[in-house]
Amino acid sequence: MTTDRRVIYVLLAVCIAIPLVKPLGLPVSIGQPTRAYHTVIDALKPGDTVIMSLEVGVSTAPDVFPQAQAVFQHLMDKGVRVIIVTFAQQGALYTDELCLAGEARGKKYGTDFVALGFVPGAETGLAGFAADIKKTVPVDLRKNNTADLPILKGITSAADTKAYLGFSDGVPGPFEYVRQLQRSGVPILVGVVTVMGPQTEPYIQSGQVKGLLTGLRGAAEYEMLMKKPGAAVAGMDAQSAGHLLIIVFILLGNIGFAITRRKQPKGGA
Amino acid sequence: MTITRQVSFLVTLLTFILILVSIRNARSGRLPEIRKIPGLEAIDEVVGRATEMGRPVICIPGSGDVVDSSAVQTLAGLAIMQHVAHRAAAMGARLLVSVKWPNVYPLVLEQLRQAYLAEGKIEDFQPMEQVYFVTQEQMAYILATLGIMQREKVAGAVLTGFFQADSLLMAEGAAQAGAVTIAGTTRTYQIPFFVAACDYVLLGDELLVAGAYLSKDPVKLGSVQALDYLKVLAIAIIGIGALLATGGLEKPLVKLLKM
Amino acid sequence: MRKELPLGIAGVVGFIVLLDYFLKMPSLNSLSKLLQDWAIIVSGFALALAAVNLVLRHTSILTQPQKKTDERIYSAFLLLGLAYFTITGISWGITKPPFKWAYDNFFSPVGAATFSILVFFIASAAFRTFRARNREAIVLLVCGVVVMLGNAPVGEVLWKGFPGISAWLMKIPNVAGNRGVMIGAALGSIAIGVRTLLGLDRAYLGLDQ
Repeated sequence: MTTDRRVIYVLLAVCIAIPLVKPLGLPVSIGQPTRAYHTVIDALKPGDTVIMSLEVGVSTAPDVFPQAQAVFQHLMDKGVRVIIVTFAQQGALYTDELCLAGEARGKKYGTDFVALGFVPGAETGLAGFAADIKKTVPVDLRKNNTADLPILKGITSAADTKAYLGFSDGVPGPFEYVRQLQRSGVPILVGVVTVMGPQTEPYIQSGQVKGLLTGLRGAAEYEMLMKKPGAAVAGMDAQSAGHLLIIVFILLGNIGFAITRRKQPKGGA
Repeated sequence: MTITRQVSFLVTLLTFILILVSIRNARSGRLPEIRKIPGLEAIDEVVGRATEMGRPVICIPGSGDVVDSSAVQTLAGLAIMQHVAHRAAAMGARLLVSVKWPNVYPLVLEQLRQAYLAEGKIEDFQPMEQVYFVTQEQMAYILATLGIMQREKVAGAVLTGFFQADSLLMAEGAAQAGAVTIAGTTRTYQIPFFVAACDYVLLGDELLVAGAYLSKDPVKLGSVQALDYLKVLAIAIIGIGALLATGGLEKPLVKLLKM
Repeated sequence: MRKELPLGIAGVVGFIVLLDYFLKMPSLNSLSKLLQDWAIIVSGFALALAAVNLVLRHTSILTQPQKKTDERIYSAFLLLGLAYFTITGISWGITKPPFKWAYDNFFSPVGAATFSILVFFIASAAFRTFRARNREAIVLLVCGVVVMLGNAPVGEVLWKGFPGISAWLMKIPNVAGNRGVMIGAALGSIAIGVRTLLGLDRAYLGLDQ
């Protein structure tokens, strides 16, 4: 029994679209890695400085950027200062979006947060940045000299900050963060696309990564912890519908497979 | 140097020594044997099928570059691509290659040229018709490659190297075009997609030893043997650590090594 | 000399950076830092090289009469887009309207739409592949379904145990399997790295052994 792929595609599109228009309000429980992430951020004090790096692109931004938005909101609420950077070519515009969000909340660019733009070289760029921030990025995204920015006074390297928050869709990702930042001693918190979640789990267990947000679900859980459900929570209903439909397809495929196998003659010609 | 760095230094030194000794042994004729790897054994089958059907084989050496941390996988993918090129030239199958990065493009051209030359079929090598370099933007590259697979109706696809979101798109696209697919990457979160969508999959370091497996080069075979010794050492350390942890004795060791 | 010089550079630079990790010598540390800064600059040039290559490649398509018309139209469109983003990005900056408008209204939706076809490919791959052919396939099928239901809120509505079992699968069998493959791949990478440092592997130069 074969099914035209287009039937599957149409059903999937309809099932995902309906909850986006008419939310179902399904509950979102919180996983332990997200709780751990939230606990580390919650323990930060006003005036502490953290680094946030956004390795996202247009294709993966819907999965990872909501995490960054939720965490950034939390940091701004707590009065924590944020140094935003990206090692992905397309990440710079997303760093600017966070800055606009910060300014909309009445925070001051250069004092409460700063966007340092794109640093080329992926892991090599990350290593250089972690060792000497101002030398690696002499001018920020808005063309200010980083040596003159209040937020970077007293901050030379990643070791001078209270946490490194990496949001990644590939490279550099959790492995690179751990490889380059572990020796500085700065706590590493990671947000990744859904497919990278399972591979990042070993680093949680070994304690090299202190907290993990996985995909849109991670962003939704974080919004729930902050008691400010937003776009990520809204997307969970669509995710549920999509998952359920794919499971139905898998079960139907297996039923068809079992029927076909039963009809085939056993052994011989 | 801290204790942790001292331990790392000793392990690194041991690695160098093991690899050099194993390479020396291999060069003196004591070649190690590698178990059969189904994905690599299937290359002849894939190319042969394409030859019989009169349809091309497409090779995608991943979407990684050779100047960053993905270089190791990209070079492994290129080694497999070169072998496929040898077999395609020998059997008379048409080979297509899709390249993402400009740094990889000259390597691909050179390796294909060498392969066709070695098989005495240099006149069959048409670089402008066979090697596609469209763009390094990920999604555009994926769509261009999917278009090539569909238009050319590829009968075989070899996807080996560094893959990101393109893994499932490429693999499923090749399957929909009717191709038999061989895939391999060391990125563990792309392996499940390959397992779901491909006929043969090289898992983890099976990709990295492919060069040794296919070429039977003593240097590469020697380093594969050294890898096995290191894996035995790693398993022993994991076993000892697991026993200590089960007995609640791991803390003194951790404290000693300041880990 | 053509072969020996790049091999020598690769070996020397690689050993300096490697030794920098282990030794605390100020002169070595600053030399290593300098080399890494150079690598960052070279990476920036590699991006520019990619753009130049793109222009050359698609300009040659435009000027070749034997190429099909639609190929030349697409190449012209690509060059137009490249020129637009380059000029607006340099002149006004990437956060200002001319660049940002085109990025938000053309580039971003197309990229997101392309990535979203993954969901359809996953559905058709899952439909094709998750068949209970043998014991291993059944285990894969059951684990896949449980993790999917554990991840989506609807799973918890169907049965409260799904998130817990899913979390256990992720924490124990998944981590064990992942660790094994990661260690194997890391050791493989080390072997290739050692061969490259010692000049025994020349594939990155396009040379055979």
